[in-house]
Amino acid sequence: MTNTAPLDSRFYAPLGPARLATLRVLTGAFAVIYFVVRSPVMASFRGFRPTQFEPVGLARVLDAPLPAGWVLALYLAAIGFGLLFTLGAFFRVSGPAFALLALWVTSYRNSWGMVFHTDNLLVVHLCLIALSDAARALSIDARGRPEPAPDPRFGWPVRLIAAVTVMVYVLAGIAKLKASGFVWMDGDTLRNYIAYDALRKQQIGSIHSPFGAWLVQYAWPFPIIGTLTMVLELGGPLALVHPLAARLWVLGVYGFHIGVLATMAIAFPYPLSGIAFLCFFECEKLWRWRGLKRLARWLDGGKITDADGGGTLNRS
Amino acid sequence: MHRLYAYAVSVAALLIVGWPATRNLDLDGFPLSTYPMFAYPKGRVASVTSALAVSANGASAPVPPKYVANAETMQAFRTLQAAAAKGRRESGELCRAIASRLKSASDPKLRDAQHVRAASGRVDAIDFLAGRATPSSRRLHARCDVEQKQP
Repeated sequence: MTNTAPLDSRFYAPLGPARLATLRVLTGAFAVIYFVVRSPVMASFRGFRPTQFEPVGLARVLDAPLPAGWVLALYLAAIGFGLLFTLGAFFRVSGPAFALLALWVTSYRNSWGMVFHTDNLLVVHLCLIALSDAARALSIDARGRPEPAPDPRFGWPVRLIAAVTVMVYVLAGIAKLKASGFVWMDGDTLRNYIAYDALRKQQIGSIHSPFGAWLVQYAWPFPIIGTLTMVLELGGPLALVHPLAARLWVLGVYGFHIGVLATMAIAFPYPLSGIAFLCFFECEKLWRWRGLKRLARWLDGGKITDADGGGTLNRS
Repeated sequence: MHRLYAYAVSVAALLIVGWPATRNLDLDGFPLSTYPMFAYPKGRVASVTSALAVSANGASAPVPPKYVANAETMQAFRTLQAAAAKGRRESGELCRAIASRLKSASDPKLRDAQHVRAASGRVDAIDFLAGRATPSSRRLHARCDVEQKQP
């Protein structure tokens, strides 16, 4: 026994390849669909003047906006590599390539004076999946190969994705502590932000939340909501300790995002899809659903054959 | 060897993602963020910048985000705010860009506008939403004419 054994038993423990592969398929599919649906704001920036260009992320290599043709070409390349990433084809190349292109597309989108916070977690997850052995199951690359046995190489990336997910929420909690302290929990700040959000959206003729506009007329819910928000954000690491804590935390954070949508009409698509939190669950069991089983069988080249999932999925 | 790779990637990932916690909140970035949204104390009274399409009879309608920047509300809002902060010249350029886009609007309130006004006003947001207050002391950043399409 080495002194790292306790850490290894939690973090570097063996796991079947299906869970990591499931994260690859679903995160990749989400990213591709998201990029396609959001194409008006991700593939074209004609509405902006060059003086508005404030590069962030990968776009920092630029001094000025790219020609429109390059922007479109890189966006289309991201979609193409995203499909290969999702299908697990040529993953050693397509994995890192898609992660980089997704980082590029989202960086460029965020480089016009407004840093959105809706894409961060998705991009980080894609990068971590790209750095792992995520195409050894449920992939075109894995067709015709023997099923790998459970191995630490399929386990640590899943646990790392969970840890990073928690960390992002902890960072949001730390930001509130740094800027406002624990007084943030009294709810006044949150109430005023919700009111301000509805006000400015009304003034710009955009969709705002009537529910939020109504709710801010009452002070009493906000200390409760503010306290719950801080507890969820700063208490995130508990989700890494026990599966039950993880379920409760995911439920709470998902409810938090529903609340943000309901009160401010601000959608965080990746967390709201639920895919951001699949790393906390035995998500490979999703393929046992009748509709998805056929897709899994096609991806895996027929390895998944028996009635309750079978093959790779039973080894996870 | 893979164990070393796993721990190296994991430690690096956690340090990189957690690094913004050590930075000033205002130094937000992407994809590594300090997540400053909703963190700072905020009062009830807020300043809000908007663009209005004003018709010949003086009626006004808010200019929707897609005519300001793109379909993203927050992006449009930030564009208006940034132009106002940079001064009259920047606001004037934005105003003219908005005015030229309004010519192709399908909504007659926007298409038939005579001019565009970019202005800021202050108001108690909660009272405004309850119908008890309207933005006061509106500060005009730019005003520009909408050239009508020739019939």
